[in-house]
Amino acid sequence: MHRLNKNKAKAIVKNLAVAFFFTSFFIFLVLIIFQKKIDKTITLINKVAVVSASNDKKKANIKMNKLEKRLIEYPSYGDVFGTIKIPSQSIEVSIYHGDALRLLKYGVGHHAGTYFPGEGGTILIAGHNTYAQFRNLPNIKGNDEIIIDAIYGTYTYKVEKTEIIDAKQLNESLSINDEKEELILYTCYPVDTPGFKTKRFVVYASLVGDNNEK
Amino acid sequence: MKNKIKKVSGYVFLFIQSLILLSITILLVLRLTVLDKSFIKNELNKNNYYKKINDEIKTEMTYYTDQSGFDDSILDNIFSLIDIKNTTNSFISSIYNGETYTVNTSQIEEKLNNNINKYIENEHFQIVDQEQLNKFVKQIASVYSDEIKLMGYLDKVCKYIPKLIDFIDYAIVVLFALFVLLLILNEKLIKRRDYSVILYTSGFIILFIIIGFRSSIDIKNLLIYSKTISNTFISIIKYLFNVYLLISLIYIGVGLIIDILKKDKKRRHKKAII
Amino acid sequence: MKKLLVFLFVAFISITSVSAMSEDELKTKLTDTYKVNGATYKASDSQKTAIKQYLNQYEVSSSDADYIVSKLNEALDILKNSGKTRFYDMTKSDKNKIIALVSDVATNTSVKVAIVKGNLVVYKPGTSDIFYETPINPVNGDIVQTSRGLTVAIAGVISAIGIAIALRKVKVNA
Repeated sequence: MHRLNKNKAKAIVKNLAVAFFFTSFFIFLVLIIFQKKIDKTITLINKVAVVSASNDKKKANIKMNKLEKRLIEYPSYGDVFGTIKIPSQSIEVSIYHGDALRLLKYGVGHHAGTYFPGEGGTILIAGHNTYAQFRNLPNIKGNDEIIIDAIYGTYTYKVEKTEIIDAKQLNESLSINDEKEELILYTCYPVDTPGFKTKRFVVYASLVGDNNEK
Repeated sequence: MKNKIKKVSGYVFLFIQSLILLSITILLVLRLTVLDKSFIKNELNKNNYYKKINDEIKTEMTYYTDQSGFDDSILDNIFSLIDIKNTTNSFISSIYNGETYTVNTSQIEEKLNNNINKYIENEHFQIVDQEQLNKFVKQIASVYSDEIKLMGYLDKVCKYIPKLIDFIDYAIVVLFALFVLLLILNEKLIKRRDYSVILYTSGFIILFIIIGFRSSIDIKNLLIYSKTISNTFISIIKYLFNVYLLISLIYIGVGLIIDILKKDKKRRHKKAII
Repeated sequence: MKKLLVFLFVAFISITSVSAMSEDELKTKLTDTYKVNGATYKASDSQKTAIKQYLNQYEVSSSDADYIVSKLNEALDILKNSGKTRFYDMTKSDKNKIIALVSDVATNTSVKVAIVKGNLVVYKPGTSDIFYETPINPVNGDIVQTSRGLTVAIAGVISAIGIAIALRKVKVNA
């Protein structure tokens, strides 16, 4: 009986060993033939389809490099980086970096890919025509002050001109450049009729003062 | 020499049969889960998908009411959870039938128009541009349609799904026939009866694939299209892993049982002599 | 001191490498306008600014710069030889070449991207903080980031390459 069990155990171990060899051989073959493709696919999946949530949000060191006129580090898309105030129109609202609709629900949005206040280029900020945001923007006049109180400094602009254009025209005619610091605000127009608006009320303002000693 | 060739052939047969069993297992599980629309609908139910999409659609729509001058109240009762469920299920059925699906938004548009008219009357709007209103209604309707249809990303692939299903069905039948043929050939010619090796090998390879997959891809943090879709997708992947894991353990277990119950050759021979 | 070392290192590489490229040259290459098969391809203004902003923030080695430019040239060659101006009009073989090119760049760079509900999202390295987000399909009435077809692929590749390589290293400011 004991000899029988010993033989059986030997047979089981032998079969497991054969199976293990087959498994290893199969894996070896697969890796030889498909290693590169497998690595590439896994890397791509991890790159494109895996987003690990980080528990600690890294505090961005958002400061202005005065010499090079650019931010040392940029705010994350979706973060608030300041407040915009238009005293003449009683407007005071948070500025988000990014103008996705989910952000415009809570504040005005700085268009990603335009310059930040103080960088010497085109700054584009969009806001809904609600009372909490840019409802009163169409009442703005030339020389009215616009103050952006960013976490790295305060910047004051004066309105140069305003215009009403088609939304498509805004896409086509707008030039984002670093020739001079220009603040462009826009909102859907008209503000007091309901529905889908095809026009935009656009405000152009130039930098007149900065205090970036934060 | 002849014995050696027979021995090697025996092992080759076992190896090929292992791979065939592995292929049948993988394809059959996929066919009965991911490639079965009832399974997918069950998973959506299990993950509360319809409720989540319902909430997402409502939230997305409010992004457009924000800029329209309307209150969110105009979105009240323009669609229900049952509408979402029925539309989603019809969409899934279309995918598995290889057809492009068009979401019918006429009822939503009608209800929305009614709500808008009431709102305009109550709020005493002085100026009303009907073209603006029509565009707004279309915009809201397209939000509903886009969210259900995942922005049409599946439209291009849906025509391949019935073909894939057919291909897998044929492949399973062919592989099964091949497996049986090899079993018969083995019995008649080679007489290598270590069938447990086939089960062990298939089980080990499946285990290795699961472990490999789990260690190389951070499945719980997958993000595909949206969080809602991703959560359902992750749930399906986890379910598949569990099924494959169970099957691999069953294979190994059954292999062990076969080996334990297998009569010892020498003992049988001794009995015959006596 | 660190800035000086970096400058010397970059200068050394520039001297010794035949095809070494400066950051400014790279910026120019990535934000340039290309005319192929009668169509004009370029990153949008906002993409160009985003590329410049991040090449300002993050250091790019010469080998990385050369890699980016070689991939960009490859993409333009495929486009030119296809004789088409839209991705969807290309032959299957050419489409596969573009896809292989983009996946090659993706696997060889540190960019972390995702496509979330029709938006291309680029993450800051090692975090789930979003660096840049742009809609892939234009929405009526909103600022158009990109247009359809191959321009999306090329501009997207330019952006992805530029941003991706830019994210390899963080510039250490003295």
